[in-house]
Amino acid sequence: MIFSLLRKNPVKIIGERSFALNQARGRLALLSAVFVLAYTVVAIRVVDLSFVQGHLGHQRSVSAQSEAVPAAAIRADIVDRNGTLLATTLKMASLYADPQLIADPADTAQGLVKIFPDLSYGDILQKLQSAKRFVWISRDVTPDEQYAVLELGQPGLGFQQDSKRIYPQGSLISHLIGYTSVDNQGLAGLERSFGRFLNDGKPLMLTVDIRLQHVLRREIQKAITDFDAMGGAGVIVDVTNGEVLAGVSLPDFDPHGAGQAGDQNLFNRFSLGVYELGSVFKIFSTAALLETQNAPMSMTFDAREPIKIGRFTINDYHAQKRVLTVPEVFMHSSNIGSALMGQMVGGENLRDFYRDLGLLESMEIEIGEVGRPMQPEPWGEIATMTASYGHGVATTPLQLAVGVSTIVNGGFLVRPKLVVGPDRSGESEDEVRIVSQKTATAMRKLLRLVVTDGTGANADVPGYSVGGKTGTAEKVGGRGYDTDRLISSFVGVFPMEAPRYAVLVMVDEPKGNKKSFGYATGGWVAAPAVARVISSMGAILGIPAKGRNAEQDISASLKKYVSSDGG
Amino acid sequence: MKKFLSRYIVVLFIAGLSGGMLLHTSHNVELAEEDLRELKNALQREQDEIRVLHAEWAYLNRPDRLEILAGQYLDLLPPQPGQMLADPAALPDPFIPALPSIKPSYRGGIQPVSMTSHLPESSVVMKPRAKPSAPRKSFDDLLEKVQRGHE
Repeated sequence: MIFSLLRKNPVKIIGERSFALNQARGRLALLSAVFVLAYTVVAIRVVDLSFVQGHLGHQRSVSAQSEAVPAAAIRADIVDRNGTLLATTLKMASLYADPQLIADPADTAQGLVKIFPDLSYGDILQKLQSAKRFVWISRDVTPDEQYAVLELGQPGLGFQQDSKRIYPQGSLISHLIGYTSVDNQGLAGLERSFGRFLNDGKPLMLTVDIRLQHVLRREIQKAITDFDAMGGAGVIVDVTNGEVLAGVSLPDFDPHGAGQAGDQNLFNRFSLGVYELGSVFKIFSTAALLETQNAPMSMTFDAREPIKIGRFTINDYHAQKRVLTVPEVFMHSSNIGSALMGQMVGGENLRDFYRDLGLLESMEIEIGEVGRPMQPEPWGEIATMTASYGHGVATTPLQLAVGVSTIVNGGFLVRPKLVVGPDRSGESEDEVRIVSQKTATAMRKLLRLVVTDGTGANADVPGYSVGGKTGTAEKVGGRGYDTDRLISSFVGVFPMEAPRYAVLVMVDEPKGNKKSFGYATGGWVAAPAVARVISSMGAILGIPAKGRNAEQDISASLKKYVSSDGG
Repeated sequence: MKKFLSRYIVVLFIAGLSGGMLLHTSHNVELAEEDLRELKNALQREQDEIRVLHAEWAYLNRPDRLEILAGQYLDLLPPQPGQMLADPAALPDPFIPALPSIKPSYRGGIQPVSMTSHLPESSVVMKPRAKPSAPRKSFDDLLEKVQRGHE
């Protein structure tokens, strides 16, 4: 037919209407060709669908389905300064059942018990027989369990994928990282303050070194256990740039189950709790004396008699009962001497000095849990004297460590930070000088003297030239100060020749033991902990020890102001 | 007339050809999209698995766990400050020179040189590697053993 129409020499139509007939034949041929082509296309398509794509068909429907659910931006990771994972988000499947679709509940329940040994058969059976359309069987199942459930081939069982926040380090850094709610909303710490940032999928790198965090936590925990204390806190700060290398608050909590943790555990003693930290404040009052009065080291203070001012008596804990020079006041931690120093500096000056160091206002740091310091109101003469040895002024442990960093690093204001930002060490124009280089150097010597000859002897680590200051404060009880409830602290700095790290350990309500001869003071509780932290830090950070004899020690030049008969 | 018909046929042929090519191309696009979807899914799965492994790695390398394991399985103590050296060059050479200098007055005369004869007793002796046919310790077994010991 069509071929005959298209033949080279078709039958000629002759006659009157030959033109019309030929035209009709041409159209017929064209139409036929179109149909042939169309059917050929259909035939090719059929072959293509049944043979070429046939084997892909099944997979295709699955992947099309999975593509229908767009991958939501998952909450980003938090890592430490070395990239160790601190918080991450994992996809977890949760198993549910639609009891209406389950034909044989007993059989299904049996199969499920085999896969999940910790579920009880009766419990599942009861769930599967209920009249509901949706019951949870097991939350957060592993991929292996998921596979086993799929093997059961029960249409009534299904999985819901959701993301879950995982903290591989557990409770190690719980107060800084914080925790999230079930629907991944940050409820505390960095999880809260960087909630939106993390939800946008941007990872966060902290200045914290997880190894140092572990060391600090281990040693504070040991101090708490040894001295039967209520809690503790600690900080390691890089004094040159304010990076917080570790921040511990004990007792702490497991961030996976923060809802079940007690208030004591959730409370952040590191940056939220404010404490009167006692004699460690003598670092600041002594620095104020050296800075504002340009006092020589040989200046003396009469510490023979307690000071009576109003109804208040200022006593010495480590009483020397003699006239003391500046280094002696500092190394024996004389309250009387410090009070006289404060008096000399003057209330207004001392207060301004504390404020410049950031001790009287809430500290700016990347987490929301920041405590508001307390200061005497009004700030009268008595307040000036007590504030010089750290009574009446309450600050957070973080603030204290940062304040000490400012004094020892050469006098530049330290701003603490938890999150790694662009390196700004080269820009010096926005650095604020609080004390002169001369005062800073004098303070380094004084701090070293406390460890070589004074109350902080237990903090010494041979080779690392540790300096520091002890602090023992009585907690405020029902009526005034309670002599049995102490807060013992030690702030250590090393190496004293060119300070790099400040380590603060604070222990809340320690009780003296046999090893400490019954003492629960900063020198016996916190100073040994700081020594152990520094010793471990040296190994972790690879800090070489430098052997120095007594004459080479930075504190040697102060020895001439220290009377040898006083102990 | 004949010319008219052949022109039609040429046009038809071109239309058919371009239709066929279009079909072929769209089919190829579909296949490529299929591949792309597959790859994206595989990538997603792989990334999820990597996330899980990262978390597991971080979990298994918790400092407190490593400390316990090191205490159990290593005959080593944490280094003390005095053991930290400022200058790595101050360390003794870990390799024994193959040709030790021997003083002429050495009473035994010159001995044949051998690497091992000069090694001090405490130095590390290389253990031969297991033969390929020997059963290999799987990492899982090791992990299980470590965890059992940990408990």
